[in-house]
Amino acid sequence: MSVDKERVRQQYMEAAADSATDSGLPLKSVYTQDDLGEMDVSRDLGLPGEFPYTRGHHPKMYRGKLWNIRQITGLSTPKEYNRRLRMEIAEGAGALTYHVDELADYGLEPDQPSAEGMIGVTGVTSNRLGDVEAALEGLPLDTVSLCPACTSPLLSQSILLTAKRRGYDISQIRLVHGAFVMWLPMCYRSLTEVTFANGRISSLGKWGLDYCEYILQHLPKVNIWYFDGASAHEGGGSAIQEMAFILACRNDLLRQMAERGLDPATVARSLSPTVALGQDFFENIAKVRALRRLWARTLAEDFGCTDRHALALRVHANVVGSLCTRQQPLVNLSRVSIAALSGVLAGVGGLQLACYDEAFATPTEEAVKLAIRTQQVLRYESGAARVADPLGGSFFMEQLTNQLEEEAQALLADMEERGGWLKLLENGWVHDVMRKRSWEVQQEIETGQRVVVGVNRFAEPPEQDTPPPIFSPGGNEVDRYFQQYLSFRDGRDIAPVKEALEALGDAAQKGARLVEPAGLALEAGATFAEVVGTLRMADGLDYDWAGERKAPW
Amino acid sequence: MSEDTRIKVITAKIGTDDHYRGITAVTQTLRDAGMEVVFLGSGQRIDSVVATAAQEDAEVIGLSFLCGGHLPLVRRFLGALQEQGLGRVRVVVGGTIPPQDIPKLKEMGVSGVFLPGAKLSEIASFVREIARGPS
Repeated sequence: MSVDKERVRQQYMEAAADSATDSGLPLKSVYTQDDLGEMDVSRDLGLPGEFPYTRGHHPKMYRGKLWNIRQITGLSTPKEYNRRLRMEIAEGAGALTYHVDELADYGLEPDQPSAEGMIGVTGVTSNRLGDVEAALEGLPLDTVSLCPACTSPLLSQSILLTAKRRGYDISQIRLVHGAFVMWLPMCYRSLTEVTFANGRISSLGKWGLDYCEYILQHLPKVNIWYFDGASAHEGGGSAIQEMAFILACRNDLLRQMAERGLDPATVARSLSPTVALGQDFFENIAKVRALRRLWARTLAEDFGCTDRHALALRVHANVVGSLCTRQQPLVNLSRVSIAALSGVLAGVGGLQLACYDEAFATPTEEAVKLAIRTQQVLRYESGAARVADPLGGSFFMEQLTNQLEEEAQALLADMEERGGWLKLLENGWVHDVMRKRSWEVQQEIETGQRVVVGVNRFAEPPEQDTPPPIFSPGGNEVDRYFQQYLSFRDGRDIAPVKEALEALGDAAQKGARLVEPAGLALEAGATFAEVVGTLRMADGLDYDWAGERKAPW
Repeated sequence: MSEDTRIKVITAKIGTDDHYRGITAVTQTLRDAGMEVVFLGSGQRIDSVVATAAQEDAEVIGLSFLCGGHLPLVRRFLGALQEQGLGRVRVVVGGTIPPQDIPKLKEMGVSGVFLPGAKLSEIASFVREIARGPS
């Protein structure tokens, strides 16, 4: 290989080119006290665990409790999935996100044309209560923190029913319920009926809100993951947009629950959004700090909230999958580690890392293990967990925190003026804002202004770039599941199923609470697709999302 | 075909996958490159995309998959195109396609497969080339 002297010279002399953060805030080359303006340390920072919680949600931070090592997992059949969950727990993940495949999300039956090739691919296939029981067999449901990721409460409620059947005291169950009702249309334009139908909240959406109310009234150890900042980021949202969306969405959930007689403090105590950890190390940290402060200030000022637990925001952070490239995939391990460190320095309560093979397929066991090991290096080797808010007081960090707070607050005010989160979600404004920014980011990558190592700089010819081992679900396992599922479904005593689904449909028509009738239908042996179809019909929609099945009765 | 005629393209997502970021960027790129692009959005049914292709007299259809299911969906899609006598329409696929599936898609009749990290300008040149045929 020949040496290009001119290139060596250029590399030696190269200077940092970036002059703005990821979200476009201009950056100086150094910051001083003068950049902090009127900032008052005791008013604007305080101590960790004290208002306005800029420096952390708890006085001791990680000396009190380390962050949760969470792993998002969903693959294959309930049986194979159970094996993977056990492996992840054994390797050190204390919190698991249970991700279903597209069938449960869209309410499809495994034997309809649209389900072909989709079973157990993007998540574990879970099509009835019995599947959830099989997936969670032998797992301690009052200890491991499960997070059901499914577009409706189907999965979350099935986990509760599983716990009940196993004899647990339901009030002791630890769960982070994914309330997709509050944000799904932001990223799923083909499934807006999870939240809306005919210009108002749909029956599926009402079930989602009823379930939040049920949690707040009955389940003290269940938190509500009511907004996914990682999805906002993946859709193209900037740090500023993500922050404003997190708060605008919270405000509308507080209002929805207030209509049901729940006061803001009761609701906010149980809320925990996800934030994205993307490319920009310092902006990631400043975003979390600014979000905690703005969360506390707006709750206090706009909702009169004084409850310490409600004001202290606990965030979960995802190192986003879009950070991972298909080119030179091992480099992703470095990228993910850097982003993960930013989460720890920001004091997040839980952390979930993208695996290095994200751009190819569902992660392999090895890739998952590496993601968990990375968190363990951060916890036990790096020293990053020893001191709370280690960057607090840095002129740059405080200035960036102030600036992000200010920008997000202005956007939040604009969104509230335009009618609030749910309205802007329904009319597509949120989606348009994200799409516009995602195009800008893509242009920056295309022109090389935004460097992606291995993609637009330091690229290798594809034939030299070896792909990693790829996961694919065991075909035999899926076939066996498929046959078992069909023999269950077609061999059920159909009378009680029909009765329970009719009761659910009636409740939806009447506008009654849906948690109880939905739970009874699941216990009677209704499939997930039947529950979704029944609620779709209550809104005058086709029984089946894909238009391939008619209501069986 | 004369240089002045605009290339007609349909872009869509069929099946249950809703990761729209890539396909919207490709749509915008092809429009900026002077092509006439109808973007149908996500969650489209196969027959409605094929019907639109017939109506619009499309030369190229771009489909995007990030959630698996691309093998059966593309097979059914190409079958539906043939059935409607639209076998001449070229189909391009983009998304998270595992390496072992790329030759399978090409064998089925897909003209090109673009993966994460592909340059938008290269996608536009490729679409122009297959629409115009070998020069």
